[in-house]
Amino acid sequence: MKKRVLLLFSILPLIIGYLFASFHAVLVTNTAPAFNLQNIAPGDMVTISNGGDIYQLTTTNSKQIIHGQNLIEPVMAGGNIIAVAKTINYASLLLYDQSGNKIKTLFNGNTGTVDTMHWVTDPAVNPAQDRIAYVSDKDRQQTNVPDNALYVLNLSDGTSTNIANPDPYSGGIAHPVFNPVNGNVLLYDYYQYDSKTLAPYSTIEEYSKDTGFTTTLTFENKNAYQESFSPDGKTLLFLGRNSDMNTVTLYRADFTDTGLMNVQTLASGDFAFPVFSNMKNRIYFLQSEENKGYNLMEATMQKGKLNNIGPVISGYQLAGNSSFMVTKMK
Amino acid sequence: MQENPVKKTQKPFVIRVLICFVFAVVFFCIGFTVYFLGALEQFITSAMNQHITLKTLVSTSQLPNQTNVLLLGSDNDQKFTGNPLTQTMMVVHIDYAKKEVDMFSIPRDLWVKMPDQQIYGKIDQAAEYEGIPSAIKVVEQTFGIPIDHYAWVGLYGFIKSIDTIGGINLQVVHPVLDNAYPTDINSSNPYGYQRLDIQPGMQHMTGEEALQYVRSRHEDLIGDFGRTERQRQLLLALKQTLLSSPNLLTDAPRLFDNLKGQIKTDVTLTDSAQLGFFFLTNKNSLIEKQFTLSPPTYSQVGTSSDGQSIVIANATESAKLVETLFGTKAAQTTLTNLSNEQDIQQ
Repeated sequence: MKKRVLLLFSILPLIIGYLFASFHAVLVTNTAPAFNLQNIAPGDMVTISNGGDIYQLTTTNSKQIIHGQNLIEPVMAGGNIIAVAKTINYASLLLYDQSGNKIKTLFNGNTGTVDTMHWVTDPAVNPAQDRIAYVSDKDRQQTNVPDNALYVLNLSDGTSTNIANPDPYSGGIAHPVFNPVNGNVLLYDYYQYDSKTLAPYSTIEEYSKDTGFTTTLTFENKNAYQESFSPDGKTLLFLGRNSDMNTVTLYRADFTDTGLMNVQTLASGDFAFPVFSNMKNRIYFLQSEENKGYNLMEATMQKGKLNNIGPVISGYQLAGNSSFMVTKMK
Repeated sequence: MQENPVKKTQKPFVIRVLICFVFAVVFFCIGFTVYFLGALEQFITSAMNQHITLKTLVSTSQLPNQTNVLLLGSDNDQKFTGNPLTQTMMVVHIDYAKKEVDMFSIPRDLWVKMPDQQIYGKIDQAAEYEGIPSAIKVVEQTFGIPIDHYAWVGLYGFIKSIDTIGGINLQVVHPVLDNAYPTDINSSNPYGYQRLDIQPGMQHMTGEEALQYVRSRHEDLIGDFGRTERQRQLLLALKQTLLSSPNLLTDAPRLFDNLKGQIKTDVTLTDSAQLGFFFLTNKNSLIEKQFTLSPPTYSQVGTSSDGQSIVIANATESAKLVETLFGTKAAQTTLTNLSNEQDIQQ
C-alpha cells in the first residue's frame, strides 16, 4: 500500500509537468494583443474593441475598460463610451461611463421574440455630443422593409429621426460620420446594385440637416466606403474596393462645399477603418498582410504617401469586426 | 525472551524531503520534454512530407491543354436525407496554354430538362435523382460543356475547409441582413432560423462566418444572383490566400487528409498539386474572367406552371456566351428548346 502511494506520488509530478507544458503551449498561442504604445501619436487616445472587450490606449498607458460584454464599435461621447452589444439575433446600443460601468441602454434590440428583434449598428456622435447617428432595421418587420436605415437619436428627449432609407431588401446603409466642426453635416455609405450588371457597389453620401438634401460624393466605380474626417473637418480619408473584390485602396481628399477635391491614392491592400489622429498628418487604420486577423497601424501622410508605418497592435489578433476611434486626450 | 527487532537506520527527514523534491523536479522535466518532443517530431515529419510529396507529384506529371471542373455545393444539413440539392453550381474552365481561368456560375433556379427524364425542373434538383452523376449530366446536356472533374462540398466540409486554412480574409461588398437564416448546423432545431447581420468591409472570417456570408440569400435585392456573386468572391479570396501563402499549397496533403469525407471529388492529389503549381507559377500573368447568366442579357426571372420562381435562360445570348467560353455548340439547341417550353410564364 505504502509503495503504491509512493509510486503515485512519484508519477504525479510527471503528469503535472506534461499538463503544465501543454497549458503553456495554449497560453503562448492565445496571448492578448501586443501593444506598441510608442506608435501612438502624443495626445491621442485610441478606444478599440477586440474580442468583445474595449481597450483604451495612449502613448503611455493601455487599459482594458470593459470585459466580457461582447461589445463592438465603441465611440466616445464626453468621456463616456457608447458601444454596440451584439448577440446572435439582435444588437443593442449601450452607454458606459469612463470606468466601464453601464449607465443605461440607449436602444434595446431585444424584443423577446426572434420575429421582431432588430439590429443597431455603427453609432456616431455629433460634435455637440447631444445626438447619435446609427443604422438599424428598426421597423421590426421581417420582410419588405427598409433594413439598414439611418437614424439620429436625440439624447435629450430620446426620440429618433429617420434620415435615409435604402431600397427595400437591399440592406444598404452603413458607417455614418458627423463632420467634427459642423454637426449638421452627416456622411454615410450607401450600398446598391448596378441596375444593368447587378454588380454591388457603394457610394459616400452627404446629408445636410440645414437643407435636408443628400448629395452623392463619389462615383460608382470608386466603390467608396468607411470615410472619416480630419479634426478640422477639411480632409476625408476613405476606402475604395478594388476590382479584384478582395483588396481596397486607401484615399485622402479635400472635403469642400462643392464636393471632394484633390483625391489622392495613399496605398492599396487589405485595409479597414482609416481614421485621423489629432495630429492631422498622422492616421490609423486596420491592416492585414496575410490571411490572418488585423493589426492596428499608425502612419504619417507626406505628399500623398504613407510613411513611417508602424503597428500599435501587432500579431494580427484583431478580428475583422474590431473597430476603433481616436479622440484627443483631455 | 523476546528478540528485539533490527531497527532500520532511517535518513534524516530533511534529506528524505530533498530526495522527493529532486525526483519531483526530474519527473516534471521529463513530462515537459515529452510534450515538446512530441510536438517537435510532428513538426519535422510534416515539413519533410510536404517537401517530398509536392516535388514528386509535380515533376512526374504532364498538364492537359484544358480542364473543366464542376464545383458543387449542397445544403447537406440536418434536414436533408437522400441526395441533397446542389445549391451552388460553377464550372471552372482552366486553359493551361492561354493561362486563363474562367468561372461560369449557373443559377440554381435555372429551368432545365432533367437528365434522362421527360420533365423540367430547376437545375439544382437534378442531383436528387442520382446524386453527383446527375448534376454533371444536366450541365453537360444543357450547355454542352464536357466536365472533366468535379468537386462537391457540403456545409460541414465548407466550414472545415476554411477553418483548416486558418479562416479567410474577405471583403464584404454589401451588407447582409437576413432575418431568416436557417439554424441547421449543429442545432437542436434544424428547422428554426436566426437573424444575420454581416457588416460591409474587410473582415477575417471563420468557416462558419464565411458560410453565412456565401449562403444567405434572403432579403437580398438580387436574391440568388447576389449569393452567386459572393460565392465567386470567396473563391477568388481563397485562391489569393493560397497563392500568397505557399505553405498552404505545400501543405496540400495534410489539408486533404483533414478534409477526408467532407469533400467528394475525382480530383486526385496529383491533379491538385498540378493545379496548385500552375496557379503558383502563373499567378502574376493569369487571365481571370467571371461569368454568370445574369438578367437581363442572359436570363430573366419567371414563374413555372406550378408557381415556382425560376430563371429562364435567354437562349441566343446564353449560347453565345457558352460557345465563347467553352467552344461548344450543343448548348444553343437545348437552350432554345428550353425557352420555347410552354410550361413557364415569363
